[in-house]
Amino acid sequence: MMPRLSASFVIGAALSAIILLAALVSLFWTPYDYAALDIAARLLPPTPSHWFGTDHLGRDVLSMVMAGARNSIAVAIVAVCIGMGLGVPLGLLAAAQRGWAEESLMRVNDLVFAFPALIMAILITAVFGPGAINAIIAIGIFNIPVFARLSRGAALSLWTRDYVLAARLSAKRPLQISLEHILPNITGLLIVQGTIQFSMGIIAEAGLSYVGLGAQPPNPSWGRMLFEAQTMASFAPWLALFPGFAILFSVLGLNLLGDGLRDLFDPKSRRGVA
Amino acid sequence: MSLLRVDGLSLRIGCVPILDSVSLALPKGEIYGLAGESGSGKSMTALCLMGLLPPQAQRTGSIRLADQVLSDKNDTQMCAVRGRDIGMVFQEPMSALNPLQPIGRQVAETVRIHTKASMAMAMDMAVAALERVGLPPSEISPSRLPNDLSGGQRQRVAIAMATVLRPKLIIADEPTTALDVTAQARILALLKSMVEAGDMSLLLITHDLAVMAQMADHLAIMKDGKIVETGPTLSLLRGLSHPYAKSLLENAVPRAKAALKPTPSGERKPVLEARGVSRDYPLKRHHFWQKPGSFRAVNAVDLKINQGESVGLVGESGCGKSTLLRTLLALNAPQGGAVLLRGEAFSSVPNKMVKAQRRHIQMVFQDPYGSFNPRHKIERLIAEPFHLEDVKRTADWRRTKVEEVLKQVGLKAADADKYPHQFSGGQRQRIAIARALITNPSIIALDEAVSALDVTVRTQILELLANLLAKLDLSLLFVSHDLSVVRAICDRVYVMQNGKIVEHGNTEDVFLRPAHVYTKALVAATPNLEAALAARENQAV
Repeated sequence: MMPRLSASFVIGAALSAIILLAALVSLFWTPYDYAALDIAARLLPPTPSHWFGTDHLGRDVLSMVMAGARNSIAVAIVAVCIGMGLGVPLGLLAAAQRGWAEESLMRVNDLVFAFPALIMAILITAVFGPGAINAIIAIGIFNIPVFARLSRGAALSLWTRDYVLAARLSAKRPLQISLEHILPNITGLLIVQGTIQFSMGIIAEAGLSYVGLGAQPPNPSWGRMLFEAQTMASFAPWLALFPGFAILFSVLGLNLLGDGLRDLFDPKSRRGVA
Repeated sequence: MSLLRVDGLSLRIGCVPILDSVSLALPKGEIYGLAGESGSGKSMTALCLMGLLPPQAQRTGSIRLADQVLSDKNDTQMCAVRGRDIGMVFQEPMSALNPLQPIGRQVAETVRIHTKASMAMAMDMAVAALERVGLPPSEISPSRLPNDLSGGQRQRVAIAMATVLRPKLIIADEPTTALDVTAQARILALLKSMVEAGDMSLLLITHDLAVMAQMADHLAIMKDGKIVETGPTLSLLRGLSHPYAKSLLENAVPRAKAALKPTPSGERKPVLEARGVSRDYPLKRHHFWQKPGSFRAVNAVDLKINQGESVGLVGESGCGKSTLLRTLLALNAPQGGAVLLRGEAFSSVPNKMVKAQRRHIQMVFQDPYGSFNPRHKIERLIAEPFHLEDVKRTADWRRTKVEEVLKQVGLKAADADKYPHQFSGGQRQRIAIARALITNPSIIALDEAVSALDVTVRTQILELLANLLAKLDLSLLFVSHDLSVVRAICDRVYVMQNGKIVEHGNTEDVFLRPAHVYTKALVAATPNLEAALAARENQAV
C-alpha cells in the first residue's frame, strides 16, 4: 500500500519544482537578457513589462532571479555530490574498518567540520581567485564530514545486524558487505540528508556571493543581488525582496521536502500507520 | 464479589478489529491469567483496562473496578486510577525505568503524584515498598541507578513502583519473559507471595502456559481478540475443548516428534571441536595512561560435536555462550586454545582455506526479522553462501538449488521471488534454515533460533530440524537459554556458567540427574507444566 503523502512533502516538492523549473527555463529563455543594461529603464518598480522591476543599471530582476536560480542550484547540487561522493565512502570505510583507521578518519573529519565554510572559501579564493567553481569546492568540502558522519553512524548500527553476520559467514569481504548490505539500507537516510544539505548549499552559495566570493558578474547570483540591493533598499525595496524570497522559498521547499522524504523512508516516524 | 469486571469489551483501532467482546471477572486476592500467542489481544486488553489506548481507538463495553466504572472515565480521571488503584508491570524492566533517576526517587514519584505526602514521607514509603520486593536498603541502596542493577532487580523495582500505594489490582504483562529462568522463578514467587499477603489481585499476561499452571488461579485463553476458553486453571488445562487452546497446550512443552535415527554405533568423527578456547574482552580504561584490563568471557572451554549429533549449549544471559559461538564460527579469534572444524584448524584470519572451510558450518539467528537484508529477494538471500564456492555457477543452477532447499524446509519454489517482509516469523526462520542448508554444511549453529517464535510455530520449526537431522548427515549446535527447548532436540548438552562449561553429558542424564549446583538451580527454576499441574492436584486432594 502506498503511504499517504504528507503535507510537508507536497508543499516542499511543489516549491522545489517551481525553483527548478525557473532554473531550467532560464537556460533557453528569460524575459530579457539578464546581462543587458538599459539605463533608461533603471529602478522601475514591478510593472506588467518588468514583473519584478529593474535594478540601478536597468537589468530585469525577474530574468536575474531566474538565472540566479540556475547558478544556486548548480553550485548546491555539485557541492552535495562532492560531499556524498567523498563522505559516504569515507563513512562506510570507517564503519567497516574500526580501530585506528576509523579514529584517524573521523578526527580529520572533525577538523574539516570545525572549519567554517566561509573561511574555507576565503582560503580557496586567496589561492585560486573568486568564482563559482571555488564556491562549489568550498561548500563541497564542507559537506564531506556531514555525510561521512551520517553514513558511519548508520553503517555502524547496520554492522551489528544478523544479515551482516550471515554475509561474514559467507566469507564476504567488508567492502562487498558495505556495498551489498550497508549502502542500500542507508540510501533513504542519505537522500533525506542530501535534500537538507542541498538547501544549506543554496544558503552558503548566497552567503559567499554576498561577500563577493561566489559567481562573478555578469553571471547573476541571489547573494550578490542582495548585496547590490542593500544600499537602495529604502527606495527600491523590490531589488532585495525578490532574490530574498527566492532564497527563502527554495530553502523552505527543500527542507519541507527533506522532512516529507524522511517520513516516507522511515516507517517509525509515520504516524497513524500501525 | 469480583474486584474487576469486564463485560463485552470490544476495540477497534482505525478499521482494524482488535478485541471482540472480551469478558472477564477477577475476584479479590486471586491471580487471573490471560494467555495467548502474539497478536491475540492480551496486551491490548491490559491497555484498555489502564485507559492507555491510541487516540484512534474506539472502545465499547464496560470495565468496572470495585465500585468505579472505568469505562466511563476520561483520561484525566484515569490518571488518578493508574498507579493508585491499578499498578502495572511491563515486560522490559530497563525501558520501564528512567536510567537517570535513583530507584528510590522513582518509586517515591508514584506516591507524590497520587498523595499529598511530603518528599520525606514518600521516600519512606518507597523504601518500605522496595523492602517488600526484596530490595532492603541495607543491600541495595535506594540511591542506586537502574544501570547498577541486574534485570531481575530492575523488575523488582518496577514491581515496587506498581505496588507502593498498595493498589487493588496489579497488571503484569509478560513480567518475566525478558529475564533468565532463575530470576523468573524468583520474580514469580515474589508476585505470588504479594498476592497472598495483601488483598491484592493480579492480572498476569503471558504466552507461557507453564508459568500459568504454576501461578494462575483462573485462566483465560485468547485468540484473535476473543477469549476462546476460560475456567479455573487446573480443570481448564486438564480438560480443554477448543482446538486452538488444545494445540497451545500441546505445544507448551517443546517437542520434536520426528523419527529419531538410530545412533550409529562405533566411533563417530568430531565435526566441530573446541580445545581450551578462551576469549577476552578489553575493559574500559579509567584514565588515559592505564593499561586496559580485560574480562575473560570464555574460559578454557572444551567442546566436541560429533557427526550427526545435535548438541545443546545452555546458560543464562551473560554466561559467554554467544561469545563462545562467535569464536567457534571463527568470527572472533580466541585468546587461547584452538577451534577445529572437521579435524582441521579453523582460523579467524580470512584466507583461501578458511573460505573453503566455511562451507561446512552455517548459522541460524534468533531474530527472524533481522536475519535478512530487507532489500534483497529470497533467492538472492538464500544463495548468499554460494559466495564460498570458487566455481562459477550459472544462474539456472543457483535457482534450482534455491528451489530445492526451499522445498526441503517446507516452502514453495515460487517463494524465491518474494521479499522477506512478505513472510511470517516462522516462515522466515525456515528461510534462515534454507540459507544455512544450501552449502550442504556438516554443522549448523542455531543461536536461540526458536526463542522469538510462538509456541505452535516453535514446534513446527523444531520438527523441521529433527527431520533434517534424521534425513541429512548434519550436526546441530543449539544455543539457548531455554532448557526445555534444548531437551526436545539435543542428544547431548553443555551447561555454561561464567565463561566455563560446568557440566556436560547426555541430555536426559543432565536434566534428570544434574550434578553441578548451577545445573540443579537451572533445572529447578525452569517452569514445568506437568509438575505444576500435578502439584495443584495434590493440593486439591
